[in-house]
Amino acid sequence: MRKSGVIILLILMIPFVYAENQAPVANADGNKVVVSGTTVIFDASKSYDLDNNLENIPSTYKWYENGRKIAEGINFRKSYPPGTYKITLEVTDSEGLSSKDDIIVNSRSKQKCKETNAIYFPEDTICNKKWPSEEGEKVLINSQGYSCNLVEVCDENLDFIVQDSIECCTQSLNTGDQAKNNACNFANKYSNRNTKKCQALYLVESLGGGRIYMKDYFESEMCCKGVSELCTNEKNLYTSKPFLTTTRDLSVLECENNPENNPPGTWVSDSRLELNNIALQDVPAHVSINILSTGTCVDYSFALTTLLRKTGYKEEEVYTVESPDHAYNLIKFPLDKKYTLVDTTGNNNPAIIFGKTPLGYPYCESIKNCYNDNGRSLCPQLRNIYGCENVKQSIADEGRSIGFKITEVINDVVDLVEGELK
Amino acid sequence: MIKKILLIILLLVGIVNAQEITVIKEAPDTINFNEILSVNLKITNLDDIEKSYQIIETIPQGVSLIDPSEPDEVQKYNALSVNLYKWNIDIKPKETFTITYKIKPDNLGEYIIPPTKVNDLSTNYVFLSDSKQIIVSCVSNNQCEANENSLNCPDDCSTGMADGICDYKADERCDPDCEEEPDCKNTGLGSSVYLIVIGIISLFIIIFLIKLFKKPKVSEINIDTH
Repeated sequence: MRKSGVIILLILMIPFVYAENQAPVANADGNKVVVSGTTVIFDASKSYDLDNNLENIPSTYKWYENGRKIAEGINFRKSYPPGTYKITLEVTDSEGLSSKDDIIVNSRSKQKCKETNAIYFPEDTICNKKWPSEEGEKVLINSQGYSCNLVEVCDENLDFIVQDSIECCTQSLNTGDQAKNNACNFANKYSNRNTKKCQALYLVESLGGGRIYMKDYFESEMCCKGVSELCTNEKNLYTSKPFLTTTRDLSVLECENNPENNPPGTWVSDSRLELNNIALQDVPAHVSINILSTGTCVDYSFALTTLLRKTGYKEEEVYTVESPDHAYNLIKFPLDKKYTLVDTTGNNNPAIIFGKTPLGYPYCESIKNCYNDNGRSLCPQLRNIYGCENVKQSIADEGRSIGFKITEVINDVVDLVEGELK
Repeated sequence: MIKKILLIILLLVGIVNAQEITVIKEAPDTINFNEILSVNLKITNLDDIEKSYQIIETIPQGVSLIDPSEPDEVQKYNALSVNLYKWNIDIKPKETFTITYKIKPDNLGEYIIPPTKVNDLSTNYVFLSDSKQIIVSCVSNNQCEANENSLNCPDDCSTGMADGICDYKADERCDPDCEEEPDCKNTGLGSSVYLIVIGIISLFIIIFLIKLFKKPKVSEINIDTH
């Protein structure tokens, strides 16, 4: 009888033993294939502790390379010569319990963007060159261009912005530039310590309200093309005015259009600006960012898509969205279940509202086509975009979107018929 | 050489221009939702002569105009409409002119009022102020309402709710906004197995206890028969 009692007590104690402090779970974010010489970011933000005993101090996260400690902190960055490296993350909670996660870093030579010196580019791009090239798919929005020119992931002259985002998100951006610091604070505040999300938010804010790499709205493109509703002063129609005063001197740009001869603009030279016709067109990303430092909706959107792709966002994670009268972006941030709509046009402010769509335009209803450097893609379904869940999508549109399943359509039709019968 | 001299002169002109005016944008750092935000623009003419300026203030999206109630200009950025306030003012030397306007943010969260543009009409020099960040806070009522989420109203909306925000956090709630999350992992196979084991053990305990309480009765019956 006594024995039985002891056994019962032991059995009843099992749940309490189970509820004692558990070791944290280390997560080093999986194996990495990187280009030798580029900055690799190691991120432990997916590590967790069910008891919430992870202290916000560097020693919580220790990083080892082939058994030798190389860093402490939730993230760190390092570059590697060609080779294979074993990296171990050790996460320790405040009570001393720890766990480890091993990943392999395979550093190799460039497989993409081979004809440029770009060090930041997406591994899943079809592009090898920068502008001018005829790579990728022909894209026709305001003018016709090749996807590898518009989303110019292979241009090394845009790498510095990716580097800025890395420095921002690995706690070392201190430029003395107030605008960059503000964008960086925003990015770190809302990224839940995830480096990849932080980099994306830095880029969104730097083209949006932060006004860092592109400024204002390039009204001259509209005026030159004679788009009267987007040209504030009708005296400027079919001219390259107004000249923006807050960006670089663009007064040398030419407008060759008139009411009788009104083609899309053309970009032919980075060095002799007077050779370019500035009428409405879709210019390569490096032109919008490094030469004009401004643009219209398509330019802002392609610039952001380019920078996010260079940062490492996969082809199904970022798109430029074309609508009948606008362009904006769709981004799938790390860990999120759905896409987020973003609009940085003319330093739009706020460019992003978490969990919702930006303001001032029917973003969900207007999605027409989705693009990135690999050309035109299927757009995500509205039910997979934050803020668009309750917007009705036509069955035809649904069939042209990612995640489309015929069973979902059948269910929708059954629901519709049942509703009608009731 | 001449080019270099010209460049230096141009740079010096820029510095002088930059010192001729100061613009300070004043507003509270935080306001509550539904409150009216009052913004002061303090423009000081540091020059020795009276100057005429055009002041251009770009109003962020999602804001109701209170005073003035109408914008002076609406600019179209493709399909987006951007409201502008504009003022033309003259400021005497070394004096400060203050402009106040009032707006009401329509949403919770972070707003950035872009830099104020001040155009010196005599030189066409454009001076930009700093931008101003404003946090619009929710008024807590213990209910997570339509516009609220765990980011903009943490007092009312706890983490792990279906609010469009993925809170990657071990908080014993599987956040439906996350693709992967620690708490969702725990509702997986491992925890199911644990529950099944506990269930089986509990069943054995119940059976064991029933048998334990039945035994004395059997012995009592035996005694009675003897």
